[in-house]
Amino acid sequence: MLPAPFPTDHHPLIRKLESIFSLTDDERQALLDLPMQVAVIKQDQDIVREGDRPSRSFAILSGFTCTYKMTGDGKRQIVTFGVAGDIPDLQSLHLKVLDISVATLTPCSIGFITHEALWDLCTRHPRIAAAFWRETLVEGAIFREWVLNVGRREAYNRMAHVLCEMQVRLRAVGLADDHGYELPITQTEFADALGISNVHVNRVLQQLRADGLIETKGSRLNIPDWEQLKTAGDFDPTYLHLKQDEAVS
Amino acid sequence: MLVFDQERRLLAVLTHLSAGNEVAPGHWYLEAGLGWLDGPNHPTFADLDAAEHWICERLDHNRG
Repeated sequence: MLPAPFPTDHHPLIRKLESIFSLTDDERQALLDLPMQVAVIKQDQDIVREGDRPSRSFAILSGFTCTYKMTGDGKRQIVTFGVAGDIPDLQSLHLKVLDISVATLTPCSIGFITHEALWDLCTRHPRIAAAFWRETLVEGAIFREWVLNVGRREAYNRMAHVLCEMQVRLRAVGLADDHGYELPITQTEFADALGISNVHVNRVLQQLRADGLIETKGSRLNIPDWEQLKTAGDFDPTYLHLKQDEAVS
Repeated sequence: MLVFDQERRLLAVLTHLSAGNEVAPGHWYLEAGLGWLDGPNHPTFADLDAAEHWICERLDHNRG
């Protein structure tokens, strides 16, 4: 296995961790040297499935994933989206059986890292171990926010909230500018994430456009008035626990 | 369109989507289900027969 071919400042894992705290040169080098098996995976493919017992975790190097669970009769609930720099199954380092599935939403470049290599990294670099721990806590905070969102907000506000969350998360890893981002997520996928039908997703998106809160061109989403979208989404980025200077306030 | 049972109790509200709808043009959409039809599931139907079939099936299933 070879280290992933990324220049230091473009390595998605490094960019992600630097959005939380400043890495020392040693820590940065350890991440660059991390043995990673890179795979390109087509869209709509499972990367891991509920019930798996993985001996490795994976980092998203590019593309979008979704973490999901299914009911017994096959209905899917997406519980979060994954973006570059995320390690969606990091919990498998401690929890041996996966209780979630992760699938690609777009073609993805994925870096598999053995648990052995991750343990070694964490043992030698306690601040990185702490950052990984923190990451799983923030992931829990995102799940809690999504429970509130899906359980208690109206569909229009739900959608606005998720669009705000993606803006802040993507901006933290350099994938959004001040005005928006590439969002190649389909209406059916939003339906599974928001717990509404795709007919209703379509209506809500049309209404957000009509109200001037979003503009879409292909998969590019523009946010003409961030404050207004935040208000519509009842969005407060505190739960994402980003570094103060990275957070969009 | 309002859907009632034989005892004139309201079961569901169906909306006829326009021909220009981006998701299911010209289909019928379960806008709201009441009682046993309430829940997160809001399917679309190609025609009213399909809607009726689904509603009957759901009622039979839930009434056990």
